Amino acid sequence: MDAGWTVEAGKGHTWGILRCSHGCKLAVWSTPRNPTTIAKRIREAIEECPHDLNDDEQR
Amino acid sequence: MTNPKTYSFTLYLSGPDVLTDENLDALYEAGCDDAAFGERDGAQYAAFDREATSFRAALRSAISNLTSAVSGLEVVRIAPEEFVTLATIAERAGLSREYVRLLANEERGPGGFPPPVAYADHKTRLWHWADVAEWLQEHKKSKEQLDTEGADLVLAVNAALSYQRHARHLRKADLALVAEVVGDNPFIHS
Repeated sequence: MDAGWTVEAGKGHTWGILRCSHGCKLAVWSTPRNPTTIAKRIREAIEECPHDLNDDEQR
Repeated sequence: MTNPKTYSFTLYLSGPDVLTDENLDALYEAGCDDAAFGERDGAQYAAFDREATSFRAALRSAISNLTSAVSGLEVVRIAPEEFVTLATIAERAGLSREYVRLLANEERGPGGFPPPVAYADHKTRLWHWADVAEWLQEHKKSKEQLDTEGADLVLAVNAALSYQRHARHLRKADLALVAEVVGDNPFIHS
């Protein structure tokens, strides 16, 4: 899937901030308590991004 | 003693920008390393996967971590949303959309499915998850284990937060009408 997200490097505990082209953001920790749940959250943020041009609202 | 379990929920926030290097570090240090902080449509949120002995305990500790880390930060809404469509009901209960539609239309099952609480675009029915979860539980229709108490808690907290946010715009006469409509509700009068 070409979701059109970019990554900006973070500082301190933040590995980076993911951004969609319309303002969705998600901060990702360098060392999250549970990498699996954070991975699930990243997938959700991208899949549920309301600005994805392929989503139902704009079909 | 109840065994700890992982509770997944999202807290929508207002107040200072949480996505700054400084605030993210403070949130991490305060114990929010089990949350993902983000922004969608101009609203900031913290998506938690928190281990706790109850949903109430998970919520309480998450809110306390957030507000202790960044001063002025306020929780404005809790998700999973209290409003659900047929599709969301199907997803949460592990059932097919078609089967949930038949249950809701009383073409299958014992009948008495809770009525919708709102309609979006005139046709899309919205239910309160708390009503539906209770009905599914009572009639043993869900394939997933449902937290009906948690559903009631989310609905009550979101209603209270909305009330608090909007009541300040109301005139005295409007507030009096709210009290009249709700009747003897300690929450409205306090």
